Amino acid sequence: MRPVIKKQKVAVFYPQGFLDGNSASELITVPDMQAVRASNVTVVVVSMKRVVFFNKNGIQIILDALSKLQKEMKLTIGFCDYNKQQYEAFFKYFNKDVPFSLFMTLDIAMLFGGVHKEEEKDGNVLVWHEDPTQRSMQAIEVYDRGFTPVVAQTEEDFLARRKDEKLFYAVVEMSYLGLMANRIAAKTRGNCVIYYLKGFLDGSVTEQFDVLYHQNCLKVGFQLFMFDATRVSSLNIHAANFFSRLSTAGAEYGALIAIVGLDMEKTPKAFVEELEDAGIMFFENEADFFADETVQSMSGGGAAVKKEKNKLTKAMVAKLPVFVDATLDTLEMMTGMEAVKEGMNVQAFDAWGGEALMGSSIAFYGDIDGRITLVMPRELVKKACALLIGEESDDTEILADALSELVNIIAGKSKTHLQESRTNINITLPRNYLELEDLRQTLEGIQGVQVDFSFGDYPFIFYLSP
Amino acid sequence: MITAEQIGMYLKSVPPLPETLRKTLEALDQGDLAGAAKEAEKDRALVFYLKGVVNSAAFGFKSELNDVPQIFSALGIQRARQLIYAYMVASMAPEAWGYFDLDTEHFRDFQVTMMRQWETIVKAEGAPESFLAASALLGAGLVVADAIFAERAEDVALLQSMEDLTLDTILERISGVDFAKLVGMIAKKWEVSPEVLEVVLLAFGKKACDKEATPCRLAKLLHLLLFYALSRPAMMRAGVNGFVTFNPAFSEDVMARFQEILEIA
Repeated sequence: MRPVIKKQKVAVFYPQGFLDGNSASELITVPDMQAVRASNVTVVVVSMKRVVFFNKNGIQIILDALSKLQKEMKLTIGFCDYNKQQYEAFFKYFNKDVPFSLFMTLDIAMLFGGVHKEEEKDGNVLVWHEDPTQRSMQAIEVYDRGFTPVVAQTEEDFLARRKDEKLFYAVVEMSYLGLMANRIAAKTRGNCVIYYLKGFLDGSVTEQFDVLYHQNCLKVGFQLFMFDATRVSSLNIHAANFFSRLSTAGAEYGALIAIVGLDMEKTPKAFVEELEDAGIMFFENEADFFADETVQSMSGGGAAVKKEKNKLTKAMVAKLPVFVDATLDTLEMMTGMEAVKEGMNVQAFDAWGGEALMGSSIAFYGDIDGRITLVMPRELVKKACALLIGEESDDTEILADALSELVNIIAGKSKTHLQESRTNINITLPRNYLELEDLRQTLEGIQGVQVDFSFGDYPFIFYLSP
Repeated sequence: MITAEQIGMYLKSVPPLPETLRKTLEALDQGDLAGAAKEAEKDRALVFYLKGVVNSAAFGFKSELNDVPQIFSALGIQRARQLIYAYMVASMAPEAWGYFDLDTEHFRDFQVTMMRQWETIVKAEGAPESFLAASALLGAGLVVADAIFAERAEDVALLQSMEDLTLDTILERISGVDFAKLVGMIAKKWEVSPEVLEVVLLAFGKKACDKEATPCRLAKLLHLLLFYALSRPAMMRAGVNGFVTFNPAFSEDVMARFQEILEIA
């Protein structure tokens, strides 16, 4: 069974029915494990929401497959979406020594997997576990992901606080953390990517840092990268070199890297100077960072990709029909409407105004590099995403999420079709634009291929750019 | 992706009950096993199917049954009726499956095993044997799903890599109809009795029902049986596990009984 990949960070298997020693062996097969490896996720979970029966044999077989992936990829593995009876059964089967993580819901698994809602501000997370060690561990992991844990000390305290559930970004209960993936947590705030560092930083930072995620962020236009070092005790030359290299690599994208909250007294002066020479800025706290003039000038809207060597190439234009067909086929499938091509030009991005528009872009790299951008009226997004979300929603966050998935599907389809002609690409995370102005800024000064379509009464822009 | 028109066309292509089978079923209605066997003998494909099924390990008859009256006599009225509907479903199935990784033999095994287990359940519950036919009809959903999605396997795989969507959910969101409705339409075309049809439709677990009523209780057990069957290794391998959406809450109150009857521990 292939897993569902959420936000390119969490892989979820959704078995249905009965998981025993016979059926469990078919849940995560060798090709399924390969799909997980290719996805570069940090968490793999099995959802129990539609499992009505399981036994120890079944769980052990699944665990064998998950453990292999854990060892190879340093993943967090476990189960989610269970009820109380199932939760207790896990502990019974493993004599309370559960060698995996348990997340009461997929949302909690996503939280610990470092998946945050776009534009999400800092939030409080209520944490409760009867075991004090688990409680502390969960609180630390929550904190590591940029949230403020509110730890209930007794069950009564927890139940009382949970009455105001709306005050919390999430409530963590009936969950258990086994061996966790040791990746540096990241989240986005507006146009800025924030990484959370901790402890003494040495050469292992290169293993803990998700380079692919960082590169993807650069490719989709993020320019501001803040490393929260408020919980860093100090760093050595290897870590300093890592940041220096990161800054140099980001320069061609016009990226700015800042380290915030580093204890300067414990950090060798020579390291700081070397990092400053590499273009890294230092700030005492987050407020100073966001108030800085340079930072503000870069965070107003979309970040323009400055990578100069990227130009619209013949090879990319030759593949235009693949991208366009994948886009139209997907949108026709999702909306049940037929598309009509209105025109195609090599030009700067030019969107009409006056309507509530939403945009999303996704970059690709490999044998050819570039970016697909789709712009459509909000009403068309609603129609196109109804298949994914089950109904026409007007909630901007839900629509933006569904639009990301739509763009992901289009890119995935293009990738498959390109492979048929032996052109291999990888795709980044999608980036949404709720304000057209942000998108205009992102694509400013770039020449791409713009194809205008209409779906019934709705206009639609496909833009392929370097 | 899939239009209502395409689904309508497909349903039109499903054959009605052939005259021979109608007469066979009528004879069974009248309790005339010999008459039913006489009619059934006229359909060579049916005879071939019946011989294959009744002589399989699942039925466990001591000696091989080759004679049609002998087969009908060994089966009895309701099991014979169940097998006639199973035959109709099997005759709808493609020679080469397009979406699921199934073949004729695996599909027949799925049908037969499920029918036998359903018989155990119906008997254990003391329900009328006329309900035996219900399990045979559920397999029609798989055949329909394969026909509808065979050409769009790549799109389905992409959608399913993004969201937790069963084929039933995708179909419903695209076309407004679900497999329960489609199976119901086929069952009506085959003149299935309203009582059996009610159990079949409820067994998809999408509608609440009166838990005191026999059809409701049977539908809950059949819902569990369907997912028990779809969880078997061969069906997991065939990609059938995500065919329709399992609703554990629908069958929660009969789960213990289900485990007890089929001795699942």
